[in-house]
Amino acid sequence: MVKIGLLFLVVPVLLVSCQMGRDSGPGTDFEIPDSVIYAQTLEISEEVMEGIISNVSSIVEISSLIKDLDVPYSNSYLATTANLDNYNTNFRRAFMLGVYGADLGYLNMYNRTTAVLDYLTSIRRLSDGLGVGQFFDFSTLRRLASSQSNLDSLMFISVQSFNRMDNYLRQEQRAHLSAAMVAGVWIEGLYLLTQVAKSFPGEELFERIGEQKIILNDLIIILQNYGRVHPEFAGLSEELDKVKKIFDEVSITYERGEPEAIERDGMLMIIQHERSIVNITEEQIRALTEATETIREKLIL
Amino acid sequence: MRQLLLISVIAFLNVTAHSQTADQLVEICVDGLGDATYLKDFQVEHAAAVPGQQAPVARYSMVLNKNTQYRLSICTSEGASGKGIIQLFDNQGVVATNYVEDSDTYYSFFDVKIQSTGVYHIFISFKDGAPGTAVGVLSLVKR
Repeated sequence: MVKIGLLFLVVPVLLVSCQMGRDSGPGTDFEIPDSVIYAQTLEISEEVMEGIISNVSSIVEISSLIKDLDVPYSNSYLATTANLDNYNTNFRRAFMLGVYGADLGYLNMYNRTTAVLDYLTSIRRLSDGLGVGQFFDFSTLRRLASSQSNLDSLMFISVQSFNRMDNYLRQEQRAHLSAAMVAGVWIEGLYLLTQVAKSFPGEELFERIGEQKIILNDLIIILQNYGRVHPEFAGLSEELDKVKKIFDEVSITYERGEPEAIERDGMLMIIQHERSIVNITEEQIRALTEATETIREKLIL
Repeated sequence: MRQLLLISVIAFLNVTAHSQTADQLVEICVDGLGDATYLKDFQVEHAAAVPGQQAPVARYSMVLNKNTQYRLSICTSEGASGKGIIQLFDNQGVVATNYVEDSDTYYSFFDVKIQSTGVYHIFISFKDGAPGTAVGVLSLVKR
């Protein structure tokens, strides 16, 4: 009963604050927690959202693929950290946290430890702004990056910190921020893939770009859902809808096959014989590259 | 009184030695990854199965990518009475598991070479519904 009473108190305040377009970030005099705003209004359950969000591909895998293709490192693929002061809403902080997290994965993969320190500083500021800085052990990360002694540990702690923060946000019913962060990771990942494919075109890269179709549909569903209560999410889902229209023309087909288990030297290895085949044209790659550049330019300014 | 204190200390040390936290298990599992890069962990704490009912299973979904070799490891808390089972499913059924029922063999990890990009499901349970804490780790095997 008390909860219902609180809800009646909170909702009118929420409506007013939404109409006024107020920033929900730190610094405002009276804040309604994000968890209250979003938990009361969404039709898709958090459990379903969680499943969808978890499906986004890891940036470590994308960076690893690029490195394995002998593509040289380039800082031109990375988002600038110079505009940090512009990210003054929780949506923008979370989105950019995803973008920088993706860049951090790329930098770690290429052992660019000096640049890692710069991105760690930006990640710290954004995560503190969202109240989730406690999940990053910055002193250990800095020590590992400075000493270049244990790059596997640097990678592990970086990825684990993001995973923990993501879990925490979802547990605290701030899954919308997790969704914004995931959107940032996804867009930066697609940007990285398409930019690399521009200079180093190849079937494996094209295929990985086409496979992003699997993730995008789910991502748009989430963003549209949060977009019903927050215009920044609606704006992003509209932008991604333009990318989706290009992906709609890309097809993925499957050849069925049974997995095969092999034991060698006491180790178990399973080889999958089902195959997915992506049908994507160079024209579609070009269109995706341009669309991704446009969205990213708008969002990281 | 002194005896009681001693017993308490011994009991405490015994508990900490045999029941690692999930975070400690993650570190143990990651230490044993070898040539693989950590991607994600799945921390599971199962109560004992209720007699006559199915054993508790934790389920997670992930997109796995074509032409990629993944490693799925499982580390079970020393205090657990059962052994952890980690299984990988696609929409058709089981793709891989660390427990081979025919030979009653457990593996602490298995590698799976994915040829079809899509959504996969990771299930973690304990054999015969035993209670315990376990951690599954998904990692990327370097080419």
